[in-house]
Amino acid sequence: MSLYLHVDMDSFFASVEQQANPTLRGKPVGVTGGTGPRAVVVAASIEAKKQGVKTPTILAKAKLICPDFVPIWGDFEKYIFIHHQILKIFEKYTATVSVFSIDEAFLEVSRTARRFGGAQKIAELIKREFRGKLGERITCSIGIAPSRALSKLASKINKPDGVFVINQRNQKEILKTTAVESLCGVGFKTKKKLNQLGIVTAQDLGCYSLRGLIRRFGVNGYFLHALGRGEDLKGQEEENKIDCEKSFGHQYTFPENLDYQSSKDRAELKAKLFELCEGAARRMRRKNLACRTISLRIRFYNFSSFSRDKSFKCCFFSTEDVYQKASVLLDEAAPSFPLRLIGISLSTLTRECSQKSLFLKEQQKKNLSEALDDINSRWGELTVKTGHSLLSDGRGVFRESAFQRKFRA
Amino acid sequence: MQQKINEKVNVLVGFREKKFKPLAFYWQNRKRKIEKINLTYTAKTGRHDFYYFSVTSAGDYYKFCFDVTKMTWTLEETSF
Repeated sequence: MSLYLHVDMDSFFASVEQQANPTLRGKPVGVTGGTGPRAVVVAASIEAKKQGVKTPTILAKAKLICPDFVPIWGDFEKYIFIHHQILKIFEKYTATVSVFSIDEAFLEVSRTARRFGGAQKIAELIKREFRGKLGERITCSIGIAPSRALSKLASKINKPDGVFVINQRNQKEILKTTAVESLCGVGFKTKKKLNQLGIVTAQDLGCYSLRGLIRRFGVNGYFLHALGRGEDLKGQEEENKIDCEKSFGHQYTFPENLDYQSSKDRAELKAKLFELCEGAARRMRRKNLACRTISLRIRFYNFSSFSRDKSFKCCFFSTEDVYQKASVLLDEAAPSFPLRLIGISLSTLTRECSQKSLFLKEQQKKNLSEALDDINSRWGELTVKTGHSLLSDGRGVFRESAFQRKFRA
Repeated sequence: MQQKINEKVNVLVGFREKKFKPLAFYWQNRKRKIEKINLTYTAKTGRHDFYYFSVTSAGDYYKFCFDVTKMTWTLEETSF
């Protein structure tokens, strides 16, 4: 029988900050990407959550809900280092660790549980090691169950710093009382559609006919059906492997709205667009991938959004090509309202471009990209930059250096 | 609250079993003993390695950065 542990770090970024700085302990702390009124709180401490601060939320809103709220500028190098320490601890207990996100992972312990005295004992040992090696403030909640779907559900039940086991005895009861939106993979829109079918709890979902779900959700019906029954779909693990990227993207919220119609703002907008293209394209190249589709996303001052995708016959990988195509999309959209956010995404990934090209120009482009990537990897992001990005704030896509380092080959 | 300092400082360091840790530092003409190391991590800028230490001294928080290439210590921030 399969046995999984789902380890979910409690308020990860905020806990790391509280561990580093004891004067922040006991205070409602939140990690942000800035300090301006538009900064977004990406993680809130347990104290802040208790006072009603949910994440992600805008800093101004968090301060309104909780006047004592302490914003901390996120230090992603720190979080990624702790993430690696955590993975090292996990690897002592099983070789099958599947990283779900920076603060979540699944551990398949079916074959190793007995050696350590059971899955609950492993959970206990992991918690003890966290306290000893990382610090007393960095805690986690662990769910133990026979499937990944159920272990993820279990880790939510006894938060923070708890352990919860779902087994054959209590599985039915838990699925009966679990709202369908609590399941991993059911978002707001899916919940709405499920509710329309009369599906409110996980048990309702599991009992609903597979054919009916497929009719309503297409191929996702299989996934939902399994989810409602507390089972995993075969091949789902492969999907979550870190090598299975489907897209690379970045987005950025400007400190102030920018007007595309003004030439000064447009130049600034394009400079940031170039940085986003550089960040996404570089990550893609690191995986020896190229893309065929580019998507542009814009959010206007009133929070309405606009997105446009374009697919091409030929694949492309260089920052220059990505930027050129993104720039055309932006010019075609020519937004007449002030913008607050811009983002790009590269998808329909392929390895075709990784082979040597017969055309000299393409090969030159590839060589140049590789040389620039080497220099920037060695000396730091944006060591060599093009004139396009000079107008930008020069911070680059700062998350690139931290979050994506773990995905490097 | 945290305050950025970014000042080069002298730090007394202890070495033990292939590991090192800051023991005390000199700042504002005073020697301050490090009571507890709360968190350590390493980071890179390009291929330059940096060691970071978040410590407690007399109830206050300090964060140091050790630049391996230049062999310098910087007091990056403190609580006030």
